[in-house]
Order: sequence, then C-alpha cells, then structure tokens
Amino acid sequence: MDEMIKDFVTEVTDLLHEMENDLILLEKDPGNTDIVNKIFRMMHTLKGSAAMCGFRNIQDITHAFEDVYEKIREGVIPVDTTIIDITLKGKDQIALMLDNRNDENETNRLINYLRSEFSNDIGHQFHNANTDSYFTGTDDHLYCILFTPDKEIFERGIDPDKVINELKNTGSVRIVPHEGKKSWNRQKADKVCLSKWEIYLSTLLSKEEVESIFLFYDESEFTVYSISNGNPGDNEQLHGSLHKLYKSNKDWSDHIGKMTTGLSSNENEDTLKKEVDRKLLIDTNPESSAGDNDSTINVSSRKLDELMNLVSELVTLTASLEVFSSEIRHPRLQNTIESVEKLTKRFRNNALDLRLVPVGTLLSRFKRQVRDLSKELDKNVNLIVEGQDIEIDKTILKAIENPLQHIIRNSLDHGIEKETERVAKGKTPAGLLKIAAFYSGANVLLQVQDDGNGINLERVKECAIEKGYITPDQTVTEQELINLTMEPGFTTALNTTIVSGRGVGMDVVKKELNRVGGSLEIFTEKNLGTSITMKLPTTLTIIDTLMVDVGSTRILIPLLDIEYCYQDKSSAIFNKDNRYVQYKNYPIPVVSLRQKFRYKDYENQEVMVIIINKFENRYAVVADHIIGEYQAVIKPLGELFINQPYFSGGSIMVDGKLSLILDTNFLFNQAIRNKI
Amino acid sequence: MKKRVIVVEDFNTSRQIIKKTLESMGYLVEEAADGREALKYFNGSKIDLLVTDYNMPNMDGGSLVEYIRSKEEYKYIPIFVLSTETNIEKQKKAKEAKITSWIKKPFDIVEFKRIVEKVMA
Repeated sequence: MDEMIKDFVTEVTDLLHEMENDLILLEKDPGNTDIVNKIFRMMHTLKGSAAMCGFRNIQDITHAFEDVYEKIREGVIPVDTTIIDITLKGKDQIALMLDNRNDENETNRLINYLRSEFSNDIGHQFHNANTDSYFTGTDDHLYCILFTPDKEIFERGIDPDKVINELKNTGSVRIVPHEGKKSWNRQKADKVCLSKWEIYLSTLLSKEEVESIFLFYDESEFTVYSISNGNPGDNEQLHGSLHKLYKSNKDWSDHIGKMTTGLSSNENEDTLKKEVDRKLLIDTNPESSAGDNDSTINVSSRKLDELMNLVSELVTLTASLEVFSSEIRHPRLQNTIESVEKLTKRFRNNALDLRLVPVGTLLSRFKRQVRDLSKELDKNVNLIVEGQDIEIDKTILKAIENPLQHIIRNSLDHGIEKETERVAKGKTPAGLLKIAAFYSGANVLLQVQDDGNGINLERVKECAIEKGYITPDQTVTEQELINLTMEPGFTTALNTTIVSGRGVGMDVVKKELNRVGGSLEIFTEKNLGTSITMKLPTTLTIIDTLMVDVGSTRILIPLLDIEYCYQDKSSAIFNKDNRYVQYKNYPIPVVSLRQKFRYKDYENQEVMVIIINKFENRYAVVADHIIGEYQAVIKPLGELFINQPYFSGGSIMVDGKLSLILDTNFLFNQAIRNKI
Repeated sequence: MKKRVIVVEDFNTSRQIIKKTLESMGYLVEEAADGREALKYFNGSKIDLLVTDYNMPNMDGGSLVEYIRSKEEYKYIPIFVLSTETNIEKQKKAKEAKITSWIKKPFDIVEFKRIVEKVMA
C-alpha cells in the first residue's frame, strides 16, 4: 500500500508540473480548446486516482475543478486570468495535500469559491459580460469556410489577412491554412497568393453576415458552409456533419481541386482527405493526442546508480578479457570477445542515457516562477525558453536548480526594470528573459539572459574597495570586477544592491556548480543586460581523461580542462627562483605533481608540462609521462578519502588497478593562491 | 502619418461629398476632375487609396486604373471605382479590371464609409 501511495505521489507531482505548464500556455492562448480539454482530463484522472489512494481532499478539489473545466469546455465560462490564477492556486493546494501540509480551511474556501462562483447561472452572466470570442451556448452557428483568393489578389489592392482578422473578431475560429510550397509571408512579399484557407467559425452572425465579410471577393473565391446551429463543443454532431460534408458534398473536393495550380486535383483530394481524417482522429479521440508524449516510468536513482556500477564493472571486465584473449590468440575466442565488447559499449551508452533527462523538466518549473514573480514585482517580462530537449544527468539538473533559481530571481528583481523606466530608456515596455540550453562539445551550456540594467560595476568596485579586495588606485578590468562578485564572502556586502538580498550570493551559485563540475561565466553591459552562462558536464559518471604517470601512480586529468601539453627539461622549469612557466608569452603558475604527492623531486630529466585552463585562468602541472586518453567511469572514493581535496574520484583500469582523478578545481585555487 | 486618398470625379458636387466624407474619417484627400489631371499625383509619392469615377472626359476610370496598375509603386494599392452600372457580377468584373471594388452611384454614405474603413483597416 505504501508503495502504491509513493507511486501516486510521484505520478501526481509530474502531472501537476505538466498542468502548470499547460495553464501558462493557456493564459497566452485562451482560445486553445485542446489545452482546456487536457486540463479537464488531468483533473479527471487526478480525481479518480486520488479516490483510489484515499486522498479524499484531492478528490474533492479536483471534482470542483472538473466541473469548472467542464463549463469552460462547453463554452459557458471563458478562460481568463481569474481562471488561470485560481487553477494555479488549486494546483499548489493539491501539491501541499500530497504531503499533508495543506491548510484545511484554505482548501474548503477554494472549493466553495469554485462552486459558488462558477455555478451554472452565474456562469452565463459571466459570459454575457464579456461577449468575446468564446464558444457560447446553443445560439451559435458553426460555419466551414473555404477561402481561395485569386492568385493575383494583391493586384486588386486587397490583403487576405484582413478578412481572416475580421473573422477572428466575429467569433471563435479555427483556421487551417494550406500554404503550399511557399510560406504565407513569402507569398505576401512576392505579392502572389497561392495559399488557401479552411476556416471553422463559430459565431452569432448569420450566413449572409459572414458572407458580407468577403465583400471584396468574388463568389468563386470563397464558400461558406453552414454546418450546424449547435455548439461546436458538441463533438459528435460537428464531426458527423463534417463527415457528411466530406463524403456527400462533391463540392468540397471540387473546390479544393480548383485551389491550387501545379498539383493535380487527385493529389489535392488526397491531401485534404488526410487532413480531414487527421483532424477527425485527433478530435474524436482526445486520448490519442495526449499519447504523443513519451510514455515514461519512474525509476529511483539508487537503482540507476546500481545499474551504472554493474555496467562499469562489465566494461572493465570486458577490457581485461580482451587483454587476456590477445595473449591466447584463439581466433574464435577473439571473435566472440569482440562482439561482447561491442555489445558492452552499446550497453554502457544506453545505461548512461538512462540517467539523462531533458533540461525542460526543470526549465518548465521556472515558467511559473517567472510569471508569478514578475506579477509580484509589477514588471512586464516575456520569458523565452530554448533547448528544452537538451539532455543532462539528473543529478546535475537537480544540483543546478537552486543556482538557476537564484540567477533568475536576480534578473527579474534587479536586472529587468519596471515598465516606465524601460520606456524612459527607450527600451521595449516588456523585458526579455531568455533561458537557453545548448550543447557545446561534451558540455551543456545553460544561459540566462536579460535585457535589463546590467550589474552595477561601479557599486561592485566601491564595495570591493571597502572590503579591501582591491585598493582604490588599483586598475581592475570589468571581468575582474565581475569575478569578484563570485568571491566567497563578497556577497554580503552587496546583498542590498546587486543580489537579491536573500542571503545567497553568486559565490554560492559558483560553489554549487563547481561541485558538479560546472563553471560560471558572466557578461554584463550597463543598461543592456546581463548574460550568465553555466557550463555543465552532461554526465557525472563518465568523463574523458588524460592518463599521466607521476612517480608510480597513474593519475587521470579531465580532458576538458586541458588546453595544451608539451615536453620540457625539468631543470628548465624548476631550477629557478620562481614557479612560473612561459605560455603564449604569459607567465603562468606551475605545480609539480611529484612534489604535491611527496615523490622524489625530478632530477634533470624530460617531463611533461600540461596546461590546464580553468575558467579562462591557466596554470600548469608537471607529470612524468603522458600515457594516453582514457574514458573513465568515475567511482566515488570511499569514506577514508573524503577529507582529501586533490582527487575528485577514482576509476578502475583495464588491469584492475585504481587510478585517481585529479580535482583541477582545487589545484587551481592553490596555484592561484601561490601566485598572489 | 495621415493616409492619403486621391478622389477623381468630374462632377464637382459629388467630388466634394466624397472629399468631405473621407476628410471626416481623418484622411488626407487630394482631388482631380478627370483621369489626366489625377496623373500628377501618381509621381511616386505615397498613396493609400484611389476613389475614381468611371465615366469622365479626357481620361476615363478604366484607362486611369490601367495606367496606375502598370506602375510598380501603385500596383497593389486599393482602388474603388464609382459606377452607375448595377451589374450583379460586379466583383467578377472588378477582378478582371484589377480593382478592389465597385461602388454603386449614387452611393449611400454609411455604406461607403464602411467599405473604405474595411479596406484601410
């Protein structure tokens, strides 16, 4: 039973997230009946499974919402901000109910509100107050309009868009454009009209009135079919009519046949038939449209970790098997082992993939936050989210949730200005917040951009001087000032000015990112905005490394951090006063790995200098030899090693020995500190 | 910027009624008594609408439209032609003549306003 409730909670949590997204979409596109239907279905599903799992309160509240959405579906209640707000609130309540953290009074108030406010009679009044373009009751007529303006329509001084816009204002429309080979915008630019439109209109207007909208068009350019006098929400009736129309009315196909030149009428008929069939299929079978989403199952990450562990064991074992078989040189054995190896590789890649989740699962949560926060701050913000399909390790995604939230809050709170201020600056009234995810090599970049104020670098400088980070006469570049904001302890000084004042600063953001192997980059331009880029590894469990020898130890250095390698005499590096090497005409600090790990120092011999580039800051490490590239399956080090800062993990080699993975972050901090 | 309308009509009273009506709608109106006189406005300057009579001395409405449609700048501007003809197939003819619409003469001011608003929207 407990297991079942657990499953229920996970499922409902996912469902609620999805619902939240849909609600926000619906707010932007209130006429979208698909979303209304989907939300209705979600409420229905919730009601059912809540009853099964004994969540009586969820059952009650979803029931109330189901009634409301039923009315929205019927067109009795229009979708507006009130509806969206109240549903979002309800969604929050349900989330609280899952953990039994909800306030019973609040819930009852909400349910009562829903029942009284949206009951039948009031609903009708409500609607009459805004006779906007929503499906109304049974007074509406439904028309199907085939609109095929002449190819040379523009030469008559007419723009077909005007008619379509006019139709939009007369009622509720669904427009299906058939653009053909050229996009409509392109056609408009070329002043050639090849498009045709299929328009479904639900309106109070009579057929004559609808026809009069096409005043400038010849009879051959449009046809208005009256489909029903009923409510278009009544699917069966509509589709029955459509079917009849399609099947019996030869006019339809004839008409479409005339619509395009170039395509044979047969083809047109087929295309149209497909189009109609598709539409009928989608509309009569709402479940199937929702079924487009990948079906998923939830697996606990512990199970995944275990699987990963087994897979990496298998990889190691296969590798040693290969070594073994190359010694025996038995052709059949060799063949088999090769196949096993290939299969194992695929197996491993697949297993790695399992841990990856689309960034969108996290980003979508911020849509709601941005909406609420901008409302709260009285700012007008357009949010653009890009690259939601980009996949990343779930652990990493979880780790960046708080940093990302912090960055977004900053942007909204301090970055984007209020409408009046923006207008005064000559900017668009609505601010822009863009969250974009994309691949860059083996990394995923997550970028948060706003077109607001930018970071107040003068203020940062003042604070830095106050706090003693820099002296007043010291020249500092902008980038250095920006980097200062990420220094630990720097935040508090600036809490009230550049950071949200919630006690978490950019230093914490940076630290959290470093913990999962990510890094942070900030660009800011006064009055133009700020761009913050998080560079993240796609996965934590496997990395490309360079294997080097230091004394008798094999060490792995993450390949991503390495910029350049070269050979040199140890004496040239170490037999001098300072610990710097020249690289691209700059002195960069150098760290001897032998010295760090208490091996005997180099006697005059050839060594490898490896230039490491961490956040555009460089330092060098010296090792004995480079063995080669190695794809390491990272294993966490045991408890005994928890307090050492040099290594971030270990990996088992082909021969069963352990190699350690160098923590480039720690060495970087050390090297830099030595420099200062 | 105000939208600019050219009104071409040989009968002065009619022309003044059209002009006043259009001006009351907030447009900038230029007038001409026949097609030939109207040509001076089609010198490359911006024109948002042409309202012209059909039967006029010197250059009639048909020739005027033909001339205008041959100019790249005015190929796509809306054109209304006033006509006493009460032919049912007027839109079909409009298509052939490459004009936006015929307007029946004598015209109903309310209807005229509606049509102008529709095309200028």
